[in-house]
Amino acid sequence: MNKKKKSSIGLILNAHLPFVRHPEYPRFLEEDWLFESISETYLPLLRMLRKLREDEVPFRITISLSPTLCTMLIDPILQGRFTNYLRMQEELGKMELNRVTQESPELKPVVESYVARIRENLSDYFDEYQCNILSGFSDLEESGNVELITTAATHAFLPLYSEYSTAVNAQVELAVQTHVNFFKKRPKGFWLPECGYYPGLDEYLRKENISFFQLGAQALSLSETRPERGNYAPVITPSGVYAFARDYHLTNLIWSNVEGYPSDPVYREFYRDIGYDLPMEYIKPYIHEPQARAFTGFKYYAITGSQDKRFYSIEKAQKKVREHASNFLYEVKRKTDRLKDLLDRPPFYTLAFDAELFGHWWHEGLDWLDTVIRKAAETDDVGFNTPKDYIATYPEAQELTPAFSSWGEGGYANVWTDGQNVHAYRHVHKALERMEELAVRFPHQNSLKQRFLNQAAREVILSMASDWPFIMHNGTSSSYASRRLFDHVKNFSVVYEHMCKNAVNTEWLVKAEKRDIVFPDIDYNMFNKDSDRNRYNG
Amino acid sequence: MIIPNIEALSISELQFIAKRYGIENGDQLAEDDLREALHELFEEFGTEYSTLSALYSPSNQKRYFNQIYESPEDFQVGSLPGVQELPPFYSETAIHLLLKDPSWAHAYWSIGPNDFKKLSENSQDPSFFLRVFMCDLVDGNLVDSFDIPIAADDISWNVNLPEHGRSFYISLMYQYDDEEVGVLATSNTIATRKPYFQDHIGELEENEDDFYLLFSSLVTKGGVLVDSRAIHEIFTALEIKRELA
Repeated sequence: MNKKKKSSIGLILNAHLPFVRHPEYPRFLEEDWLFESISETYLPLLRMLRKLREDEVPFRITISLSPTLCTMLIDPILQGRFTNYLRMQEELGKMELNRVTQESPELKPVVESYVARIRENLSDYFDEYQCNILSGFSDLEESGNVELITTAATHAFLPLYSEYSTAVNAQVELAVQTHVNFFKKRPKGFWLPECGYYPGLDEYLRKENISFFQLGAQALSLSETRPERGNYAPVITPSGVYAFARDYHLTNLIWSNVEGYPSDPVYREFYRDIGYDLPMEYIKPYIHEPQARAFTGFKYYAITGSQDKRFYSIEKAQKKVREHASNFLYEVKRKTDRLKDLLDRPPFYTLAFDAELFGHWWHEGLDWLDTVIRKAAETDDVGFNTPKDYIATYPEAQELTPAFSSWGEGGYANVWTDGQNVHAYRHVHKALERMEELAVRFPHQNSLKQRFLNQAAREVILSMASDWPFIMHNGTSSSYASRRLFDHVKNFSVVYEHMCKNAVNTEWLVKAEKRDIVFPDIDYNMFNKDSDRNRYNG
Repeated sequence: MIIPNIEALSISELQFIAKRYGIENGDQLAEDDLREALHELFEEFGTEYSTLSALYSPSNQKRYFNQIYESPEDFQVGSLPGVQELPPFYSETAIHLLLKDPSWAHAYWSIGPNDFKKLSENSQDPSFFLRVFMCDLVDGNLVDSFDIPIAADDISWNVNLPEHGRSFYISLMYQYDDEEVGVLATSNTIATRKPYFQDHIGELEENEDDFYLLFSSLVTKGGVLVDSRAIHEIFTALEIKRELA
């Protein structure tokens, strides 16, 4: 860590998608979540970071890659489907170039920029990464530019499982195990899903030798102990794991829908897409007709009101990117100047985001980030470092137990326990209790029963994903989310009912294993409360 | 509920959303009327979460799956052989408590057939209630308790937690007219912590630098506080204190 810098930004990006894979259908709408994220965020992000490295710009950032996302990224079926997606995008790009040249020539530069990105994506995906983009992230970690960390196995909102110690332990242990499988090293950091923390959770992380995690902005201020350095330095939890609280002020310059940079009217509008705007006969092959129209990624409007629909201008947007990058660094500098005499060390600003904000939601987000990193490198005001760097440089930290908190609405668990989703916990909790029961009653099984019980463990872990209750809360794609959540519990029940009769449903097992390829090394014994791995929980 | 940017949507997107939310004749309405209908719809949906600070909440915005489309409901995720529907609740007598935030918990319960049978053997119909026990966080001693009447067919309840810095548990209870009272099940215990500054507001008004150090990272550039009731309470208490001074 460069000690000349007056402050540090700890940028942590959480790249996560729930496990969505439906080989039983030729195309499946919700699989587009993955394809859009790869083409609009992950591949462009990798390009941006590699270019920074090539230009010898100093930076270090932290990226959390969730176990479910990693699994999908290396799955041959989804890789094949992404290939089709890219090819369709390429074809649509050519058609759009022809169309706008005739109908709206002013849009040609925008279409050309999309076509260029598709070509770069094709080239990177096949030539650079041979369809495995995880190798791109590994490469950046090896060069010291990126610290790869993990998150809970299925991104469970852990405070709602605090009564189920084996389940929390399984979410952490399985995540670390999966990370080791993919990256051949143990992660030092752990992204707490939804920044969800409750006192005692850090103990599970310590057991897996995790050094740090991130928190919601209010977690330290609401502690029973006065946080001596505010959110500008990490604290050390009773178990010895460092906790970094988000800087809400700086985060919201980027994140807020109201005053954040992405809401500037010159930036590209996310919601207007030719998948909805163009006649069905033209767009049909590129959407999910007859099931549904969908986004294609070709979006031509700037953020605008209904009375003032303006076409998107790359030139204007790029000018604004530079302004916003300068403004962000100005805000950081102003803050650092104010804090100069209040702290015994340079402030560390923790900025934690969903990775998909950059590029997917905020089209210009990666350009902005690139500009900020380059401009920051030119001054001594601020540097980009990782929590691990900070801990190594400033190991002394105040001991403090953060408060129960999250980054969701209201700051606690309300998003995941509202009227739309709270009924699910009766079933998920029951499945967890029964999973513990099965693990105790049938320890260390072999062969078919072992596979059957492992699949049961897989199903309960999948049912814990925070994504499903989150989507149910938001009311978007909620029927799919609800089906997924309850299907996992129902599937678990198949094992439970059969094992109670000391039987195995082989037909079900074979199909379930084929469908849920996630966590191939799962060991259901992790749900055995009596086993050594859970003994520390008392 | 995500409130889409209605003003930015095209007519086909508006029609799509209208269809999804059951607006009749959405495909026949004029664009402006459709926008108005959707605004009204989302105002209705949005009352619970329409505070300004909620707009700043990242979990409410910008997630990859906040799309305006999804597979139609009849588009089935492949079911596996032998899968059965789940029961609405399970055949056991139990009660569980989930902490939603420091002021609210969610309780859900079920009464098993044996207990139902036992209760029905009495000539009187029992009434049911939840007894909420509030205890000292350190020694576990009972500080207070209160009852919440519930109907026989209730299976869940949101419970107000009156004080921070306490532990709580709940018993699912019944009572007959002759005042015989019984416990059917008792929940797990949950704890709420009292923030340091709840009892030390004075420290924040004494030193402006300290205040900046401790709270400047919780306020946006536009002056909006982080979305947390407890933080808002601390700031409100501070403002009242300053006004009184």
